Amino acid sequence: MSAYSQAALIVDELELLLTERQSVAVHGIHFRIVHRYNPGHGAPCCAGEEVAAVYLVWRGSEVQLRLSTTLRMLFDYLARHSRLSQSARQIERGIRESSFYARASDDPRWRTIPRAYVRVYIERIRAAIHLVYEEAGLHGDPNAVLVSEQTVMNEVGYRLRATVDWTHSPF
Amino acid sequence: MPRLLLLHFVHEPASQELANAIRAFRFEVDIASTPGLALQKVRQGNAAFDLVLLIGRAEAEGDLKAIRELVLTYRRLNHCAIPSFLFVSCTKLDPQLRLRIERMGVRYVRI
Repeated sequence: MSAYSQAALIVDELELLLTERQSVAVHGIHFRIVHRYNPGHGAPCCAGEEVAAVYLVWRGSEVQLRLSTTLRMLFDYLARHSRLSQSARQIERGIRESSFYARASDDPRWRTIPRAYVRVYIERIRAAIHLVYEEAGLHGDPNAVLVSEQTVMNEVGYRLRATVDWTHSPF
Repeated sequence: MPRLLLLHFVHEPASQELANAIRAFRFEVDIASTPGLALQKVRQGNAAFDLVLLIGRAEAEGDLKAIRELVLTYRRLNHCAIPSFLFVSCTKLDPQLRLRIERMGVRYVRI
């Protein structure tokens, strides 16, 4: 094989890697959230479903994030509002007011997230993203996925910079 | 123009020839003839590469150490600007070795 045709094959792969880099830079990484106990009638993401798992989808494989019930709920909430940077207070209220999260867990303690805990939970989600990156062999900064955005006051807004899809299962 | 670091584990003339062919596809190519030189280029930090191309040997076990070192050095320096890695082999690799390469976040391709 000549150097030119060898290079052409390599360049095909290099272009794929470049496209992958650009896609991650523009849209962020891709996650899949699984909702369980879908009643099978009506719209998906209805009250009574459980946020069963969050997966990182990378190069054709899915790697599960090691998140607790509360962290999965928070991740799901941030994913649904990924275009909106929200403060801890907004997140607390948004989760409390939602009928989906009110019934997402059997345990009433996990149905809301006090705003004082939001910052701590955000850090834990970042730690989980770091772990899943290691597992998937993906190089990146978790702070660029779950972004903290400073406002002109001392309030901080949180936003998930990623693409997400949801799958629903009846069991 | 994307910047590429080419590390050829085989021999120098082949890497020059390949680099010239890749340049024809509008890539800016920098060659490192040894893993040590590649590390030096990365540590200097004056060349931010988009891609790292590694041309491996059949007995790539030894190359694996160099790849790991390169990936770890990038992570230590700046984990936000890590280039994408491509490992190219002209011969069949042991599937276990291939998996280990891919687990480091390096894409593997055989041509």
